[in-house]
Amino acid sequence: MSPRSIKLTLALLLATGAIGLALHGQPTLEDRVRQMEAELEDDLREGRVQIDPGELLALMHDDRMRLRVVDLRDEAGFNLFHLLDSHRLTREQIAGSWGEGLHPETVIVLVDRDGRRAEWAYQRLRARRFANVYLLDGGIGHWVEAFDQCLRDGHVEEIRPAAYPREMERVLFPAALGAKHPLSRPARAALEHRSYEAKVKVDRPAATLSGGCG
Amino acid sequence: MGPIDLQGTTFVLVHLLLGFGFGFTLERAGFGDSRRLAAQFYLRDMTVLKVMFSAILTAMVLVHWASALGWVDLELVWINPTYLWSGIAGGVILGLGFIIGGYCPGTSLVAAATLKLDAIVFLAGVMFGIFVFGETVPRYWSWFQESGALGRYTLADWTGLPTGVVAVLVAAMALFMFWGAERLEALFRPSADASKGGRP
Repeated sequence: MSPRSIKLTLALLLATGAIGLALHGQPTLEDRVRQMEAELEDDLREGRVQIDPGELLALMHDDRMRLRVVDLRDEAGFNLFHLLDSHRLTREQIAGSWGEGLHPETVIVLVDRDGRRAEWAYQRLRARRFANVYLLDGGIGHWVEAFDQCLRDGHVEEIRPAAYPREMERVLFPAALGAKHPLSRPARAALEHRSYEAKVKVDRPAATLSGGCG
Repeated sequence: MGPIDLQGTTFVLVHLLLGFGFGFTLERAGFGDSRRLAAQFYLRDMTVLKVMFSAILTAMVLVHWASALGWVDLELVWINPTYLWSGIAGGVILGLGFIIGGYCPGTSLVAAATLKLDAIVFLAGVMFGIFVFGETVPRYWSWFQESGALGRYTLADWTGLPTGVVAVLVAAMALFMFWGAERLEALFRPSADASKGGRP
């Protein structure tokens, strides 16, 4: 084969490869979720990623921890009450580009009302290859139940956890206090009588490579 | 699914093989000769453009096909984050060094491995430059780390086009540049072929 023929053949091969790529497309986020389905379902079923409110509070008080608390509830619920420094995100943001630029060791804790949204978000964030994603076990209601002693120390009358969310919200949150409510970040002392199984293990990525061909 | 997380002896062996292959290929392509490398800038010998762009194109097509077939998860592949202004400044400095010295850092290693004196001196300069950078960077660290920081930023992110479309456009641009490079070589190469630098 002449050099010119070789060049033309290789050029044709590369062009065909590129055109094929355009036609075939790349895996979407949903494709990656399906590929990882077994592993993700196993994590959720075995309870490996659902953390106790006590553990989340401990993380919030740990200055060494890179923590992002993500609230998945609707805007009204978020405005009524949310954890200190939590960010409210929509489904589009979870499945989009939110989180790009976060430090790889950031621990993301998903908070919602009843767990369903958190499981959906967990699958998408793991498919986007965030390594340290956890869910607040039992959602915001469990958080309130866990730390209601803070309320008994002078703020509002006794609550009945079973009444959550609507009745509890009316009793606990007479106004939209957001993160100003004492429950948004109880003092570290609230952990003294709370025991839990620590599940958060920060996955540190392998050393990243850099550079080019020089 | 890749990328494969290599450990221990396998990690060392694979990287040794890759390094050997890369150095061998560069040397065989004539990139151990500063005259051939510098001739790129005078448009007399466009081998550097043709070899490097061919490699980029081949890697692009293969990596994205591996991703499309589910063999590699591109989310796990390291892509250098973009720092626009420090990248531009570094590119200007690299370009100046390249045209003055006739080497870039990688090719200077290739040439130094064959004991070319100019490459050894160039390499010493590179090491000195790295040392000076390391000693002075605290003064401009925030600019270096934050100026035009765009994170992991690809052509597909910049254009908003699907990856496959970007691949077609890059391939088209590359093939056009290969054709154009040969036209420029014919126009600017001296008839005595002085730029070939002794490589048959």
